[in-house]
Amino acid sequence: MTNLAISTVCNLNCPYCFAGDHMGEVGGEQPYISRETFAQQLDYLDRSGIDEARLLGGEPTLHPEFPALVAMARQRNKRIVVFSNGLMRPAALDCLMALPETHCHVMLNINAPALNPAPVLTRQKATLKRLGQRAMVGFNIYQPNIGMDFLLDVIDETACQRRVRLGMAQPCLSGENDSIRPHQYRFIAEKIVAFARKAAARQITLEFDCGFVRCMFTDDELAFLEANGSTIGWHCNPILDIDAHNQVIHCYPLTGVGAINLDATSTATTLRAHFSEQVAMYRQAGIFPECINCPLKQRGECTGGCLAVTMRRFRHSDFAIQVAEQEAQ
Amino acid sequence: MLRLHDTPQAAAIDAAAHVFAVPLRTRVLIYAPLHNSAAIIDRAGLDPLRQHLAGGDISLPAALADFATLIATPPPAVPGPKSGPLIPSALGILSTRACNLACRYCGFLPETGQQHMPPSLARDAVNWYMDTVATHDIAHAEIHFFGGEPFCAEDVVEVAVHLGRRRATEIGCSLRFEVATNGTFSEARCHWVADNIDTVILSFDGTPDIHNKHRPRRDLSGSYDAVHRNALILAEGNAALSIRACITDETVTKMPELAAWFCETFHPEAIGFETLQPTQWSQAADLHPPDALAFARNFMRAAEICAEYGVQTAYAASNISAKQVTFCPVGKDFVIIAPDGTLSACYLRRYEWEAKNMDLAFGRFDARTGAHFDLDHVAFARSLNVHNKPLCDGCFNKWHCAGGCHVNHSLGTQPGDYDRLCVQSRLITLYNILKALDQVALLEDVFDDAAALQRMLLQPSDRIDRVEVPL
Amino acid sequence: MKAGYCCIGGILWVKNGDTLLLVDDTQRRSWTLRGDEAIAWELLCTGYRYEKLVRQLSLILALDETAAREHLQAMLHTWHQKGILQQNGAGS
Repeated sequence: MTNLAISTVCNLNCPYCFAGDHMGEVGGEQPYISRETFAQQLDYLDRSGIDEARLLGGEPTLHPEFPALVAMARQRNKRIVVFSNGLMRPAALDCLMALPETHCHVMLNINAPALNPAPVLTRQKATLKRLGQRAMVGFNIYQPNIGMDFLLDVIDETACQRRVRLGMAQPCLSGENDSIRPHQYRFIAEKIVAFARKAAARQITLEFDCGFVRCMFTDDELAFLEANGSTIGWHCNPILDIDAHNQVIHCYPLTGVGAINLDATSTATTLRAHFSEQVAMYRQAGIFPECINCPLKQRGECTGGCLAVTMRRFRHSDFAIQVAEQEAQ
Repeated sequence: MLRLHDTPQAAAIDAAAHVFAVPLRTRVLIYAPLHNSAAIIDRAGLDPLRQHLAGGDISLPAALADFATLIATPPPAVPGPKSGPLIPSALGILSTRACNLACRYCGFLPETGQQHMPPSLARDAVNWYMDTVATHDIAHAEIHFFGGEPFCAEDVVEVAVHLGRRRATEIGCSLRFEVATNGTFSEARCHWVADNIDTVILSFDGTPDIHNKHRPRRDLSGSYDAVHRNALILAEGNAALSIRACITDETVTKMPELAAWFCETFHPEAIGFETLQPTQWSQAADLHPPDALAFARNFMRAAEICAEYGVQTAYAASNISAKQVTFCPVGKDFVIIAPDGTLSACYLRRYEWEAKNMDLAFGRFDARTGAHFDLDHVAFARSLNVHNKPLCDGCFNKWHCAGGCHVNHSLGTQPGDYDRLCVQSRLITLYNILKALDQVALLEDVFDDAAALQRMLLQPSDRIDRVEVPL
Repeated sequence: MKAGYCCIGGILWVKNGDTLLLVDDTQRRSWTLRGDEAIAWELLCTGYRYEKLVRQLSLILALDETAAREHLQAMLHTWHQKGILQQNGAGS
């Protein structure tokens, strides 16, 4: 899996956005990917044997040449996956509608009502309705007090896929975005399970983004989620995000950690190996102090949560101590 | 019916003494705290229930029969005062009497004598306590730090924590550390606190305008910036962050928005709201406690907000999961060591006890020979319990509030002679019970009916056999 | 004359229970500190001067000050050998 960040601008300003560090770095003068760079990235996908073009941003559909980029990817027979907020231009929506359902998947992220003015939700629902089975709803849990039940109504109303992809907002390394703190995970888990019960009653299943940890759920809760079609990986691996300037990063929250340029020989395997090596030392720890001795982590069944959270636990040691010279020798 | 959890000690008392009835307009809350049980009944059901408890052969509706049978039996345990040899339930370390703040309501005057505890005394006290833990095979040990501001003597806290952990590892017990702090320490110290202290009770009164007004530094500059920075560090650390906010008549209506702000910004595990304790200093600063009804009502609103964030809301006198004869360390064999080696039951200053004709010191610590307790003084501290507080006898909140602070809460002696603290504690406890029963709306109704509210709050006794509820 | 130690640039650390994990971000190395070493490291990071550090260690580790000084000196030397610390030159 590799995501291609074709736009560094967005028409929303979500407080939890973990692309913030990334957007700040490369947003400047050229916020959109060029066709030439995009072609190089498609070459990379071909070299890596990846049959999906996963387009993200910012808001990827804001790219003025979005339809052309989609066409380029389709010429390489790529399935198009778009991570969007749904506030897309008609041309972008038309081009997605022109794709066969089997070759188009839009992950449409909807915010909690507190962040989402009614007109925005209205536009998002219109997009979902049009995309129908090409789209599924995504939702980021960024504060513990959010309610998710309205998503079930949105799905019924728009006849999109009967699935919800849940993410738990993770911090950028700068920590400037809103995120869920590890001590809140258990409370979040209870909310998710309560939501899953309501979803299950309406034949809607849940999918989970990265960053969830096994210990936030009880065995019974996990059994319920799995019995209702959910699988959770407990993984945090290099996603590989490539920006509009061919800079490759581990993932948005880890912008700046070991970033390298895509070259003509890069493949997903080599890039993933690079990033895995870059962060291997940090992976000894996890988001909780207890992770270091956790059997699940030792067996590789849980990676110890989001690495950005783990890395934010580390701190510099900038002490200097003066000792008598004879003692120092 | 509400079922909570079991209480620790056992003794038999008559049935009616442990069952309380609180009128809620047309309904009545029947509360049996020592049975961890409660029920809401219609007023018409009260007399039959009373007769049942008095041993009368009376038929009750099926829905009430099991509950009535349960509360008619002696409670499984009645909290009693401590007795026997003093085995410390926890060690309190008053690392210093000094403080770097000059809070406008605080009466922590400089005291003559030893301000900072020598670190060697902390070492000796921790060694004595951990030896005691080992001798008595105590599984869970606790050390709490008080001040002044404990981190004005950070070396003392540090010695106690690192030494305590070493000793706990040797002994094979768990050891928990708790600190009450103003949170103005350095960033490096804050990281140490986040790594090493289990529970941090952070005095944090609110937004900059409120906090800096209440809690300036000694040079009268604000302390908010440091507390804000450190609260954010603590929110990401391993320590459980519990914010304690002092509420005045000016801030009481802001409690709900403060609760939301604390939850969203600092992600605490708990927020404790306490009302300002009037002092000559607070009066001079024109700071006053809030009206009890306003505090209780805003507490309820704040609690509803906190619950949405998964944050517990605490009011110390209204914790319905605690069944206790005393509200604070006093009487619980909690041993607090002062900077000069005095051992006492209370962390307040000597002049505060003495103003109330009390001596809560009960021993001295000697570096060579360890702790020495004066058994008469230990007995006096243990006698400060709710069994000896006539006002509390008929109060449904007696096992939770236990009369409050033995030093600062002067209790009336006539039944129903409740003061501001009693009223707000009763209301918040009632809220907590009704919340557990999912019946908070009943309390909202009472708030809208001044006569019903008056009747509920000020009835001379809540005991089911004495309560007067008009039918 | 006095000399001293400072931490190698790029070293980061985290506490996990009684164990400290140190990583050198630039050299891709890591170390684990436990027991007395972990305590000494934490004390160093709070910014104590040497003599105060010796007194604190003496109290915590139940050593007289001479023994605490030697123990600290040995730990600093070990960390220097391992490349965690560097000597930061002389001062008066």
